[in-house]
Amino acid sequence: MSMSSTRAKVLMGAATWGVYLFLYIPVLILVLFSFNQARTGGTWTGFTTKWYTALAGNGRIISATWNSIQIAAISTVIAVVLGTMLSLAIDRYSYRGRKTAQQIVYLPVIAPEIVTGVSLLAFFSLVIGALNDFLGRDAGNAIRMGKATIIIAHVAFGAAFVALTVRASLRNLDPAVEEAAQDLGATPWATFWKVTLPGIMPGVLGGALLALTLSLDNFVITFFVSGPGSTTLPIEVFGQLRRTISPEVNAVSTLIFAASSVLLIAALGIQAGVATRRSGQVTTVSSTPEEGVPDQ
Amino acid sequence: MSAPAAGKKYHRRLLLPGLSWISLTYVIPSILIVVYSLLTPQLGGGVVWDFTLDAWAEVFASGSRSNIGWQTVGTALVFGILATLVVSIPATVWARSVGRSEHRALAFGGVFGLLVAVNHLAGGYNNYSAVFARSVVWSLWATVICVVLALPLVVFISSRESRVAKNALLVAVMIPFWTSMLVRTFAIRFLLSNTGPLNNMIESLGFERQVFLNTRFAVVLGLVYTALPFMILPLYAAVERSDRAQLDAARDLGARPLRVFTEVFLPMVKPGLIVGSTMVFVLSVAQYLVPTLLGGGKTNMIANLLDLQFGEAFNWPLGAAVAALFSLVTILSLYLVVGRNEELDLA
Repeated sequence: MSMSSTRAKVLMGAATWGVYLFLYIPVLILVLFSFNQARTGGTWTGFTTKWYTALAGNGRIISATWNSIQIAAISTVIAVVLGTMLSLAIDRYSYRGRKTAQQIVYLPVIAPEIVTGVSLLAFFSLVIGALNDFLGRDAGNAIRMGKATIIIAHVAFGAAFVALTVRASLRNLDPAVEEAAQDLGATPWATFWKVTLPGIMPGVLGGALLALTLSLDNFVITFFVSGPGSTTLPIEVFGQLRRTISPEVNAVSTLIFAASSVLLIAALGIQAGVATRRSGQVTTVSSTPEEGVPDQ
Repeated sequence: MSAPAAGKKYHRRLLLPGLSWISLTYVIPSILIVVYSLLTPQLGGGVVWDFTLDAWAEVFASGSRSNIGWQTVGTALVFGILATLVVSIPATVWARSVGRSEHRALAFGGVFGLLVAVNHLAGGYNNYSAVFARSVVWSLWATVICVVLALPLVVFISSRESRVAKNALLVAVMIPFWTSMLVRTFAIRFLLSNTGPLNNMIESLGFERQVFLNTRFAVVLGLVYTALPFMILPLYAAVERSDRAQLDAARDLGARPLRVFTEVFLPMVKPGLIVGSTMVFVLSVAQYLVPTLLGGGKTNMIANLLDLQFGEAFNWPLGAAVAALFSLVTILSLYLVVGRNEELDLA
């Protein structure tokens, strides 16, 4: 850009810091007021941690957090396995229909969440309705949407994002290394465990963290496929903040913000580790500017 | 297992579980939603398996015809032209950058614009076209504002000398990008609420309290706030990739700053602008939390309309028709703008 004058540089710096303030001030104010004495309003009346103590006794928040952790853990494990397999199938083989398969795999990345949510609601209600008819269940003991349907949905988009992340690692792993292992007599299975997996491990871990974060944070899709007893943390917080303005909601939001920042820094740490290791090698892999930027 | 030279084809076994899982949750429900849009609503949610075109008729042609006047024709024209531009400009830029026919890109935009205009006309003051139009216009605003905010920022970051400073500034963009959308939207809601910090500050300065929440301002602000990192990151990648020497050359040859910006800088970062704008637009137009928590009301944007039809209104076929139309437009424009260009590939 035209940086000839110092004035332009100063203006650009000011604009930049303005944007950073815009990005952080709302969240920082939210965090600040989670330590505010007053129950309502945005006037500072003194420091307290009582809202955090209150959270510990809030049964709804605790059980919603537990649901979220269970759902995220199970769906991340399944998503990592499926996503890694998908990335291998897409990146390491050529066959008819590969392009179509790839487009289907990346559907969850591009499909609007709200459309996915209502489509899954329609789909699950049809399947569950048929299942209840088939099993002869009545209203009392009918199968309903709940944790299982949420996990099914979270695995789908988790696997897509894992596939995306692992593929980036696979591109940096020379297939010749794997061929060499097989030429030297390693079985395909041994080649995978001893050569491929260690090579793509950063991608797998990064993908796992991404899937975990996406599952913990997901609101829109979960909102449509959840049922009684399967309320996740975002759904519970959404319900509470619509009903009341309470510093407790600020406190739980602060904790969510802190947790996702920690997860991000962990993911970046893994990626930085990869970058260092890679630059230590003599390979010709050139790093592109997008590295370190998560694909969306 | 993964070397192509091994000759054995393990791809089926690798592909099958994941592909069927995603097909089951994304492809089949999408087909089902089209089927549902042709059925009869059931009281209390769900559908009756009687085929009818009622839902589609309501989407395209409900509302009172008597209302069609010059104002409707005028807004239909404006929306039509806007929609044409929105689709054909990025499509043409893309077509040119990959050396494909620009006519097809233009034609696609034209058809889209015509659809929007006809939809608006056919409905008169039809609620549904109003919601569609509002979602598009608000998201366009958000996209434009994000471009304006992101441009100086990415140039500033990329002109830092030290690698550490660059990375720190980038991570500072990525933290909000990874933070829960719910928390970020709530932060804005808290800030703008009637008894919130902003209003307290305004009052303490001696002015009257303002109503910020449940306004168009609040929604567009929320859209920008939640989508901004999606503009910054691809734009930054494009700026880093661009050739600074060309800028210097243009300047040394005496080009005015504005000319350097429009004729050298913008074409260089075009791919980033296209990806970023597409992401911001697609994310915004489908937003649920922002219009719900900051917009009030029931049918602010498309997502609220879907929520209403699948929730309280219990008209699943109508909601299904809206969803089908909406995802068709989204996915088509995404594939057209980014999906088929290797350089801009999402993967």
